[in-house]
Amino acid sequence: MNLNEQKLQQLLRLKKLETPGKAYFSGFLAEFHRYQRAEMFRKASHRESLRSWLREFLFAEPCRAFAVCGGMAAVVALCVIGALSLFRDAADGDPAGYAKTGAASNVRLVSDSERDAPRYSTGQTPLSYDKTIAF
Amino acid sequence: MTKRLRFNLLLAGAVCALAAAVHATVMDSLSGEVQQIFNKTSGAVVKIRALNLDQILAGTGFFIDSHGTLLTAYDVVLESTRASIEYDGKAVEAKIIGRDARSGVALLKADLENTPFIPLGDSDKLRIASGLVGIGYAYNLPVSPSFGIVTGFDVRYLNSFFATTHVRCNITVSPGQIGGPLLNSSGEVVAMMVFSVDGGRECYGIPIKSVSRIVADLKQYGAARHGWVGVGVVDSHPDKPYAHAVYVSQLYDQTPAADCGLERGDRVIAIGDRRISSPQDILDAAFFARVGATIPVRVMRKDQSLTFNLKIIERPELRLSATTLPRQAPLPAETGPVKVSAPQ
Repeated sequence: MNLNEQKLQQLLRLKKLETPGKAYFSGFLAEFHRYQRAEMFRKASHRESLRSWLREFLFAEPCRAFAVCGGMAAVVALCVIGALSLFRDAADGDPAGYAKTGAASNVRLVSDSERDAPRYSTGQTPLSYDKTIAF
Repeated sequence: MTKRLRFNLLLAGAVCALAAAVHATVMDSLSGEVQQIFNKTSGAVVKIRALNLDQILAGTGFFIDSHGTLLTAYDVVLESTRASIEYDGKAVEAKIIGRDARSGVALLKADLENTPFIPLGDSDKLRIASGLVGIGYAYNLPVSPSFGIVTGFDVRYLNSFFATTHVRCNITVSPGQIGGPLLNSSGEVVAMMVFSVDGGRECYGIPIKSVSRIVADLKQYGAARHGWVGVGVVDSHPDKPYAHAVYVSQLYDQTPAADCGLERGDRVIAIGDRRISSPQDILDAAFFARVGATIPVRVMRKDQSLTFNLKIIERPELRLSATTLPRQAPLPAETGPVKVSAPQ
């Protein structure tokens, strides 16, 4: 086949205007729906397999004891953490962060990061300002 | 012609170069001066923490002598019983010698010797646009300087009066910087930051002269003793609405003013040596009046000049609020002594 440049350009122009037929689009839609269904089934099977694996793992005879022990350990850990936080709150009874250093009057200033941030003065408490002029 | 053009071009270039050099010099000079003041004084500025009920208060303070005496704002300590400062990397307890809610001044003393301190300057020399350097601790950040100018001298902010004239300046104040010093170009403290406005975009400082007057009382009595004679005034008169004058509007019962002969409607001319032409003058005269002293009050009644000598007593713990007193009591057409009871 002898294609010169002019012919080639004509063919390319024709190709640009070319559109696929109805069969192509219906085929594409069918293929898309098939793919969607396949994906849904695939996810469902993953979930199902995970559930069955967990069921087997937790309720199989040798693992049941582990599950019970783990639950109890979690409850104990929660209790310990709660008690510790309560104790820390009680220790913070002196909120300025003073901690006496022996007999000396000097005090240790706990850094801001160790406790709640203090109220930084903005000087916006006009307690002293009168509403009338009197002397 | 070519020679002249070349000369003109050279001249223009030289002028541009000179302008650029001068500009850089002014900026550098300003920056250098602020830096110098900051380096000289920042060692005397400390972080203050105080315990008020169950709340930690944080602010700034500064040493005013080498024996650990500190100044800060009342708002930094409020009614705290304990305070500490951060000095030389350590936290040191500071005793609260006294505080005055009315002026917003608090005096503290740390058990330290040879502390760096900032000398007190002359706040009377401050003028509009005088340069000021502020130093303070914003939040828990390191000490930092700020620079601004005096933008005004006020006794009134919105509907409230300060105890005395305050310096308004365009120095931005972050939370924690209240109580810090405002310094002049010599590195002397001329005011103390006590009140921030517009969300910290501007601040008010109490002049160091007024602070010194309060400090003297706090040192001597443990509390400030504000003078009081029992005269309420207004700055307008129904017959003379545009006159710059101050008129007697109230005479409080059981006060030195009650039976001295002053009358409502009298125009106040002078208190002591100070001429009175605005509420600012009244507040300043009253602020610096000493309890126990006798002060001559000169007034004009019609065309007659009268002087009354009033003994200054201690100002009672009263809050003259708009709810307890009429804001602008109408002055009577006729003059006659009218007494009202002082609110308790």
